Amino acid sequence: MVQKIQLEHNYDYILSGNVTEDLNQFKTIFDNCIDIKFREFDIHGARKGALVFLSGMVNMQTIDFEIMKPLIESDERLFQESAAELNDSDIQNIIENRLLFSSQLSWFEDFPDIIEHVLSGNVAFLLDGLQQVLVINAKDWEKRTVEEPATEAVIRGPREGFQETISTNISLIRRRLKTPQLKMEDMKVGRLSNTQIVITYLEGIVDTKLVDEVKNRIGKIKIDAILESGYVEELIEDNSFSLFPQVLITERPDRVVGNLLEGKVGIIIDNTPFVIIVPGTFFQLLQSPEDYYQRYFVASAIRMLRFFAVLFSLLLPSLYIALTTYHQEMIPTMLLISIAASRETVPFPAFIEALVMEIAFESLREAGVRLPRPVGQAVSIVGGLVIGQAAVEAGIVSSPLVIVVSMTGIASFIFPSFQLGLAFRLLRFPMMIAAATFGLYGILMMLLLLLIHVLRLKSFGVPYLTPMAPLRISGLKDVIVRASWLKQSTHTGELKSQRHQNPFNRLRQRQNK
Amino acid sequence: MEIISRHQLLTISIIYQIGTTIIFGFASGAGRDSWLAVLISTCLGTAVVWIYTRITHFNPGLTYIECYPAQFGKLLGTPIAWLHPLLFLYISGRIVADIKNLVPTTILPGTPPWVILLFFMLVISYGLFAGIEVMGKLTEIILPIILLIYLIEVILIFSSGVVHFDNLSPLLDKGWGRIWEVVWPLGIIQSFGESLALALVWTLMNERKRVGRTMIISSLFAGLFIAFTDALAVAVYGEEIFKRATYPMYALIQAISVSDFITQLDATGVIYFCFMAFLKTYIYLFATIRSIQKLTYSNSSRVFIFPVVLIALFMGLTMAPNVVEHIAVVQKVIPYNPIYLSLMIVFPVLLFLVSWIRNKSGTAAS
Amino acid sequence: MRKQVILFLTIFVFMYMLTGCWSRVELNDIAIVTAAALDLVDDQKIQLGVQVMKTKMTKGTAGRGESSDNTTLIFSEQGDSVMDAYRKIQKKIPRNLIFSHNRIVIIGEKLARSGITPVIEFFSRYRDVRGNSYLLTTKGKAFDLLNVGPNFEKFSAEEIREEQKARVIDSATIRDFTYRLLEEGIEPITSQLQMIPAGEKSTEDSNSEKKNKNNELALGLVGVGVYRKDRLIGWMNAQDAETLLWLRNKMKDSVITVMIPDENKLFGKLSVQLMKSKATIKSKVENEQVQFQVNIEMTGDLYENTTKLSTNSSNNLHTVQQLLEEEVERRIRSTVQKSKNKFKTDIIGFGSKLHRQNNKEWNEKYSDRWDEKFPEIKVDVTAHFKIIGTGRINDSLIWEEKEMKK
Repeated sequence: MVQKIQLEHNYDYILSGNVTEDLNQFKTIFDNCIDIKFREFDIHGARKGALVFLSGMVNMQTIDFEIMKPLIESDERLFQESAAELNDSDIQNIIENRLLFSSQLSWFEDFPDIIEHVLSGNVAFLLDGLQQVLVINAKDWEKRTVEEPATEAVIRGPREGFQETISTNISLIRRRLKTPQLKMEDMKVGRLSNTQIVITYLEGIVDTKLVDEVKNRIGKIKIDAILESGYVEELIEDNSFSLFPQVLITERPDRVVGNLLEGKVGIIIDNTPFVIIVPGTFFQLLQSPEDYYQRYFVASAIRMLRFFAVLFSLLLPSLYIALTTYHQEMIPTMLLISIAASRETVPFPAFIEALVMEIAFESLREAGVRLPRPVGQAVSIVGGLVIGQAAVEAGIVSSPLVIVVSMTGIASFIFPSFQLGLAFRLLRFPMMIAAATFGLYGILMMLLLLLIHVLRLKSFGVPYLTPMAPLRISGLKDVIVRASWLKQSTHTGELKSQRHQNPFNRLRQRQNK
Repeated sequence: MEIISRHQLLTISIIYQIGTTIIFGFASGAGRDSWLAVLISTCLGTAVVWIYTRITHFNPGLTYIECYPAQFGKLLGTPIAWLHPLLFLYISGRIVADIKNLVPTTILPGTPPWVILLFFMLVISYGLFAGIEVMGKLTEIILPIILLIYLIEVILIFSSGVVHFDNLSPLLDKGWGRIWEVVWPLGIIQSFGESLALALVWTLMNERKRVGRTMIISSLFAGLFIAFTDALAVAVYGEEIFKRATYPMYALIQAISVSDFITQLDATGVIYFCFMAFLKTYIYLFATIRSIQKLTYSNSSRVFIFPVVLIALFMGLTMAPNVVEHIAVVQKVIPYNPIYLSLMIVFPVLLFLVSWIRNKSGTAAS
Repeated sequence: MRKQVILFLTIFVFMYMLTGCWSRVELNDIAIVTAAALDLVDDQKIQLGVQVMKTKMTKGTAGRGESSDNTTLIFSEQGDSVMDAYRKIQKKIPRNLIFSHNRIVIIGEKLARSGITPVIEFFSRYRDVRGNSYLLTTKGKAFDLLNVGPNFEKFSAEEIREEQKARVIDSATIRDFTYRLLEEGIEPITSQLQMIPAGEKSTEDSNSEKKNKNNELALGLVGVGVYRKDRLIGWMNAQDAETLLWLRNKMKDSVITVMIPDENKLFGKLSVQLMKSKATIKSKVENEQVQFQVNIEMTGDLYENTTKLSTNSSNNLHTVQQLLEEEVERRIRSTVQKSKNKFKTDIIGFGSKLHRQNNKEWNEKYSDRWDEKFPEIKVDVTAHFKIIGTGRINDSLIWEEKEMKK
């Protein structure tokens, strides 16, 4: 599965066994790379050795004291004594077993392999007379510490989030699932970036077809570089012609583990703190991991609140337009009178007014995200309070509309998934156009279009609206409400496995065996 | 091959059978006894639906349309079979015309009907491309919502203090005459006889054996639903207004008024209607396309979508010059039209008997 | 290929939507009608007056005390039909008249006497109009009433509607009116709206000469207009209107006052607030004679007692209850009497009761000729009254003798 590095020059690089020669080959390959370091040395004058590594990606301490020191200080006899009698494997044996203190080392003879390892921060050790190179793990580079995830904050729950180093991320998951059933499979994607991707799942719970499908799709990716999980998401999703995110993206290890327990597959990508979980369903995107940590009545209420938020953020401005320009009779009289009074000086049609306000709101929001935090706050204060107030007082927009737009904005902040929130933010605009053209009728037809589209979507063979459509009553327990763990014994997803979601149940089962 | 589940068939059938009666009312000619007329129609209609399901049961593997050539022979069966898509197309045209009449006069005065209908047909064609499976899921989501809204509506009507069950008495004021008039044949043809189009969906269900039971449940449910709604409308408006209203159920929604805040929800009534009409047109067009596909032995149904949709749109736009004529057709022409009667009642009964006898003798012989 | 189709469709949809907005009406372009007044003018034309909300002046912020007269505008026009007059008003003003929030429709006596079918027809057919506005009749010109400003609400029509909803006297929305117009064996009524000085007692004759300029004028409900089919034939006073509510089981808030007669030493008055009232009407046909038995059961609380009667003893309460029963019976009888003999129109709905209870006889004999038969019916009234509470005190504060001597 591992994709070989494509060497640029078409020479046949072959290890000769002569350190000087081989080193020259390396130097040709790493021409003009200042970060590559070569260190040649003699071992008791008997043999020449060399180390090749990337500075900044290795731990110098390790190289100095755990590689160089044991080699140079080693017992002279080891190398001098009847050097000719020692064959290659003996030497390898000596180095591995009696000299180096490193726990991770292995021998390679192909250039591409070695180069790949060097590039990912390992140290290559060349020794005269050996046509193999020892690769020693000494990876160490600057990284963030494990911090609280910025996008998925919770009130109750672990504060750990993923960071950019894949090994740390893997350990964060492994710490939560101490079982050999948790599998991690390695893949390399990207012709130039050679990004490491790890596919993780729980054997016995996951549907093996799903794992094969994920591997298959990732294997088919043809791209120069993977810089973020978004690349992978776009290249493996079922229907890229859709606004809706069809995979779940998270920064939280506990969320990944929760999903693995439901039989999903996690895709961990190097250099990004975001982990992809497939298959992703709509209702899952509306859930926050915290739902499972809070008391279930509260969590259920919050989930229902989110459903309202979905409706609000999608429909509120368009309903405002439809009601004020087409169905005035539906507004209670007194309310109508006050809306009409505040709209009296507004020179635009309601649709334009709403459109302008929505666009203004979206720009404010985008500006707030991009700017440094202190400036961002200033923007939101100036934009939200000052401009809003001034616009209303100047009679350019009506105050009910300001209320509508801000409520829509707040509703769109309730989405636990930023990606899904984006989809709804965008969908609001066609909805508004439909409402401005046909009133409620337009909204209905637009909703039907939207529903048909969403119902067609599948994520890795799982219908997007599972378990609402196709209906699975038992699954609704974890969708509309969050039922108590005691009541929730079966899977929510349309995944084949019939294992129980409740960790305690599984424990019990195993004990019974 | 698309497959729908039993539950999806149930939801499709319920919405389909309740259908546009949610606005037009059912059997309003029977005045205050209309609910009784609906119940009687339901009983008879369910029997008719049962006959349809038996026919497909006796001819496993064949869609309803294909049973005619199979049982009556190609010469006799094929022309009869071909009548079906034409009838379905005609009825879908009628529903489109309903939209044309209702929407511009109620919620969108001044908007040209063709624009409204074009949008409508666009959504339908997208639905047809998406396939029946998507539609099954759609109804699965929407039926609970519709029932919930209906329940709220009923509660609101009751709390508006306009319901007087006195209006339902006296029972059988004018005798059985006018009840029978609306039951036969219109009451049976409407909703229940029209389930013929659903017969083309049955073959796509995953548990074919349970089609019969599913259809009976949905027919009874739809019947009770309509009967209750009729009774409510009479209780609110009294017999005379109920009989006179162009859209009795639409008027029912207008009656809602809760503490001056929730009032005049008629636009939502139209929205209700549009959705029901959407599904009904969808099923008719689906049935049309599927029967044409089966009868022409073609592999793909997609090529038929646009022509069929365009014909339905054209028919809807040109069908009736005004509401009066359009509705008069339902009451005066359709019940006595030989095509309706023969396709929905006479032929199915014959087909049922033939299939039954064949089936029996077939099993006896083997 | 597929993508192109989708792209094409999307572009098409949006283009065609943007060309749209055919039926759009902005809130700045509507004029909300809150009340309509209809009169018949000399040359058989219909005069339509509308009261329109002046949205500009009511702009929300509190404390902007303006005179209440300014919140509404009034327009009026004459035409051959209601629609015609409406169109003419529409031509005069730059905004679309929206009838969907109309509160009340006032009908002048002259039009009412000549038949109000045109009005009902317009208000049942026109798209924009709703059936739940109240229908009112007035003596004199309806148009004049539109000018009276509100005292509490933003516009006067809302006040009338509130009053109607309080159900002090019998009322009818357009929907109710139509129902009673079309239903067999029941005739329509409407409330009667008059201009009354705010300080005066609200009886029928108060509006005539006593218009005191110091008294601010207000609109008040003073009784009901009695109709036969769609024609007004007379008026009933507020007391009868209240009785009608009892008979139709619509009573919400009613007070009965009985007097202990002069010859008794306990002389004084007792007022009772009605809590519940349930009337049942049973019909019977005997030898071509239609008989009705009206049974009314009421409960109430005693709220005022100016007699020397102690309400602490159940005996006394019985006496009071008896007095009340007599009073109720008397009032019902008198109302029925008026309906039967004076107006000869069945506004209580005896006919529909007969229809429901003896539908065979009704269909055979009375259905077509109820107008003639109605004055011949016999009505028996029995009332049962139960006092369930005596307010915050039990004994009368004015006490001399504890027992009433018979």
